[in-house]
Amino acid sequence: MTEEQAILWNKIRNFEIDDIDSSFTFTDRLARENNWSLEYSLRAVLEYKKFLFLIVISDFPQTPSDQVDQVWHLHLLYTQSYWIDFCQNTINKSIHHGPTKGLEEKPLFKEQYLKTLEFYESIFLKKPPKDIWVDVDTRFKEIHFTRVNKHKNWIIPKLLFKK
Amino acid sequence: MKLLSRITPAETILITDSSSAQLKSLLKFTFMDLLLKKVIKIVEVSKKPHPRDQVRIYTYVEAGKNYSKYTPKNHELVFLNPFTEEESIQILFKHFVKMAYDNSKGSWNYKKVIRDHGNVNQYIKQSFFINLFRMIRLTDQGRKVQQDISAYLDTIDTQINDLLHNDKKRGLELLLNIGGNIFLLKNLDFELLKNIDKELLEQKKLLSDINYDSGYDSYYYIDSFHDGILFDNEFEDTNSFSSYFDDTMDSFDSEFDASSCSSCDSGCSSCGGCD
Repeated sequence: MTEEQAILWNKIRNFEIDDIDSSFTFTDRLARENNWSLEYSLRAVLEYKKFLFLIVISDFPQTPSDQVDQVWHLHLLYTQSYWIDFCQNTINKSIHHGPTKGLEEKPLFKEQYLKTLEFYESIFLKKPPKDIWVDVDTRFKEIHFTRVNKHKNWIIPKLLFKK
Repeated sequence: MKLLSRITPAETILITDSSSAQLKSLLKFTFMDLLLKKVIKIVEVSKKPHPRDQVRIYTYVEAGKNYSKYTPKNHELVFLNPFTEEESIQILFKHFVKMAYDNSKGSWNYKKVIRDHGNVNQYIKQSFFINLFRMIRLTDQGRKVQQDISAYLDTIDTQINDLLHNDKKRGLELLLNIGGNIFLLKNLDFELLKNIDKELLEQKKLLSDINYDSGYDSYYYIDSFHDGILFDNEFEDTNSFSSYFDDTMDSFDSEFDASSCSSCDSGCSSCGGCD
């Protein structure tokens, strides 16, 4: 990381998404909507910030893990925090989110994801945490999510046998 | 009383209060002990999140200077786990307390984690029925230790402020002998700790530097007393800190569980927009 990049990373790391006056913060919502523990959500937010930093300093596209993508989606809903406080006032750059256009892009995203993992390691000098940045096969296999009304439905996990 | 130099405040409370030990106290004193040992630290940052907002103070918890060399006990991991994964993580105080509360998985589970550590498990009975009814019952040896601890802490409590004025060496010895359990003293004037003889501490520090990994935490306490400040933060005293922690814990119960979005001014219960 160059000195200039370190300054930028510090700015992004110190950017606070959570509103301290709110009793139900961004991170609380992230935890609830994804059924994550608060600890995992706090870590996922930090990984999301790292991902945004990688986007800003790179000249090639980055692909997030699904976990990081969920943080990104939620942040995009907090429009003032995302567009004004973060993009405009913190990094002075607009970062747009580009959803996939379909199956034909899968190989491309797989390749980009691998490059992102490599780039992460070269910048932060450590491997991305495996529970947030899953391996490439899992990343593009376990993607069948849906919104479920828990008042009307039970959620029963499938029995999966590990290989 | 050698035992008190080896056990944390949460372990002491579990022995003295047994089944009636409160989760809130167990967590709070564990947190304060970790702060005192500088395993974690509190940082206050002024931020202006949005140009039209006023500057506000954000209170964060970060890994402290002793984090990397400290070997945590299992019941301390509810606070320290995120730093294991990412030492540089900064966590809002409110989230940090809530995270520890979530990680504790409730009063009984947390008591079991404390109970099962080698420091205290010999003092606590275990059987199928005791577990079934979620009780903490002391062994005969445990009851003896309970009485000894209570008597010892009461004695220190009545003498400590006088000693810190008149016999600093003896006062310091007593405090180092009880480590983080100083928070369980009701009368200790924490301001007086700043006046502890630095030369005495320097000698102690040199000795403990060699042995800091011996399994005892006295190194960390000496280090803290030597620095002359109890916590690296703006809290004026332990009481204000203690009530801040309690208020944060209490707020979880009464929080409004917002399930809807809202717009800036319209006050509707669904999503909305504004410029």
